[in-house]
Amino acid sequence: MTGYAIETKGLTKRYKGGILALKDLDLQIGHGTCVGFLGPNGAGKTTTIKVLTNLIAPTSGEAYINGVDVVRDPKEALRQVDSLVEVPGMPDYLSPHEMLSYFGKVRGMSTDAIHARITEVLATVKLSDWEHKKIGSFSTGMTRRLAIAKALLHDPDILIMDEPVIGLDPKGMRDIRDIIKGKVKDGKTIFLSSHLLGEVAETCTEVILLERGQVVGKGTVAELTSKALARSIDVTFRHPLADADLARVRGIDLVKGVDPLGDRVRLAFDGSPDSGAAILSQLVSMGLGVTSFTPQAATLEDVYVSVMGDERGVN
Amino acid sequence: MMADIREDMAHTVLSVRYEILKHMRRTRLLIALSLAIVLPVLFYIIPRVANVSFASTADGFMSNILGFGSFLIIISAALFAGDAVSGEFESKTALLTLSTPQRRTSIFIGKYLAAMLAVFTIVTLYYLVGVFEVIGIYGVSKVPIVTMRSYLLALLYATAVLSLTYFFSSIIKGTMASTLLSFFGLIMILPIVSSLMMVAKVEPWFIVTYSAGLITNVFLQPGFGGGGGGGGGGPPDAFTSYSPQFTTGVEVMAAYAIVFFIIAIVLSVRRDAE
Amino acid sequence: MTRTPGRGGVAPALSLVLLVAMAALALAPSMTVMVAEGSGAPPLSELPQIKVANLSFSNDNPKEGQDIVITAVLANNGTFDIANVSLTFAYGEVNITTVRNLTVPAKGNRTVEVTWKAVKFTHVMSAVPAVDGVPFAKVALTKSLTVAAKPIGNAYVVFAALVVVLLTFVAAVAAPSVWEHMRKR
Repeated sequence: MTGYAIETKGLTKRYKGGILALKDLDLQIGHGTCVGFLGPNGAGKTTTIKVLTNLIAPTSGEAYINGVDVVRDPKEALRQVDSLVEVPGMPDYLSPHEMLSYFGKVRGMSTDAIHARITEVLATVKLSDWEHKKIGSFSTGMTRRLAIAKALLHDPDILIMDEPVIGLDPKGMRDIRDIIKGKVKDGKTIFLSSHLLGEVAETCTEVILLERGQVVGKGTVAELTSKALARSIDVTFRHPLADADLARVRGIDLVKGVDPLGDRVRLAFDGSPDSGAAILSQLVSMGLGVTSFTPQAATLEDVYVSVMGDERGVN
Repeated sequence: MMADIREDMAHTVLSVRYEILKHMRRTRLLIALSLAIVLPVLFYIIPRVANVSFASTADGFMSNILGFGSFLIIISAALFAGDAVSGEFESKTALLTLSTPQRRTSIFIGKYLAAMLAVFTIVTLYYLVGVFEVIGIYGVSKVPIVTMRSYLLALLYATAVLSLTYFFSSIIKGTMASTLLSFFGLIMILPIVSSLMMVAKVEPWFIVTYSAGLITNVFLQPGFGGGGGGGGGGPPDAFTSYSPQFTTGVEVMAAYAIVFFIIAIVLSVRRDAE
Repeated sequence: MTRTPGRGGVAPALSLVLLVAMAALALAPSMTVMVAEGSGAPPLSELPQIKVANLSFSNDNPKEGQDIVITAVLANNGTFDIANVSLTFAYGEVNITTVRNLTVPAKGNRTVEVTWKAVKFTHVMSAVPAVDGVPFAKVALTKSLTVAAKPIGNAYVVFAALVVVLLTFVAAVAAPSVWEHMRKR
């Protein structure tokens, strides 16, 4: 038994038609961590999650949850795991109460425990008023909340979530973010795939970057951002810049973007110190009255772009 | 191991319960139950309305009604099992159910057993209506003793048809395609193949729809044509009609039920929820 | 000079013809006429006066496998006994048996019985007489008989098959656990 909550060794998945989705993927996710799984479309994030949740079989390699081989003993491996994968179909002929009762019984929960937890989780995802209504009448956001409720039902030690906030409005996204943060505080292990870098940066302590089925970067958010180049500079001027002056600043070769932010202007650039110095020199020579020139700390997006390359961008 | 088996049984029963709930809440069960009642009732009403007499014997009457029994079984199997596996993947409900700590065998066998219970209910109702009609027309004492034999044969045929339908559902991606292939395969393709074999003077003993003839053959009814297992008399170029041998027919139906069930479950369990 | 037959020669010729005709008529009933059906047979009036007058069964609603006694009555309307008669019983195109060496008395009947194990389904039963081996299909008699098929099979066999099938389904639920347990050992 390994000490990791989730581990893969040499995980490879080749789909019919020869598409290689995962190539010798090695992952180690410790207990009590919240790990963000980032990558462009087709990187293999969902494939990894599906292997870990017994939805697809790997071509080769191993996957473990709490040291139990998911492929050889999925029933045991998934006991302390719950998941939200892609956009699952919902049994439209059932009510949330009936659906959650089913999953509670699968987990061996007692009837009283099921009823109590159903009330709790539906309150958590703000679906209490819909407990006995047919799921067929739900909106996309509501079914998403219900899927999250199902993942929380038996209070698993490990939560695996694939794009959990898809289909949710900003308030819903914030609610889910708070739920995840709460679970992290409770010492649960969260493995979260998302394309919303801000969400991942806010909720996750560690990040794994995946491209073409292989890990291309991993570490804590702090480690990664400290290594990444800052790609923006905040500049303040003696007087707010007129449109003509902003146009002159945009005309500087090394400046990739100009974003007026009230009392300052944020300039985007390639992040290299030489470029920064050259930009500063040109701003001063323009006589615009530069009063401060502050490179910003790298964000997760900066990390992502620097690892994946500009043309891949965020998926 | 026993605890594991008990848990698997409990998961299977859970799957059966929820699948039956699905059938009950959708109109399919209602459609099939209606057919099971209306079809035999028509055999009672139409002679009355047309002022013609019923069959001369209760056996003949039951045999007439049950001539449509195999048709009803095929329709019911297509309704309840045609999309049992393919539907789970097509609608992506598999993303919820398969990522739980229960064996896939428990889930898919549960769905099969639920379909079987539904079809058995349809068949039982069909026979009950027929028996009541016989009692009404000919009297209680005239209810053919072989009705129970025919009923058991119908149930056995139903399991064979269900297994074949489940097999199609496990290999075909789309629900519409799997349901239609099951339906037309059993209503049209297999009977055509049987007929062609008989024209070539080969008894199609291994085709399950041919064995379904036993359901009505068990009744004490004189007929025309040759005996079972061989060609009848007559000129050599006459169409040779066969009728299924009892033991062979039972064995064929049981074999279809078991073999296609096992293949279907194995394929379902190995299928990726892509 | 030619001699023309005179009136005096006609009467003796006619007398001779009459004598021959009377003799033929007297002898006719005892003549055996060889008739081949459909091959220039003599007129019906010259066939033996025999026919199958009746065909009956000991059970008009038999079940398959039962022994049925088929009774045929041969009638002879002629004035002479007819010997060397045979009677062939059949169902459809299938012969049951031929009873030979029968003699049917003049103006009398001869009853012939055979036993037949009933074959299922509806048949046209026939009794066809023959004299000196020549069949007379036109004076044969046919009658329809419906034999009910034996109940086929056995409910216990079907029940056992159903139980085997259902047990297989149940065993399939437990099989993965058993297999895993064996694998871990």
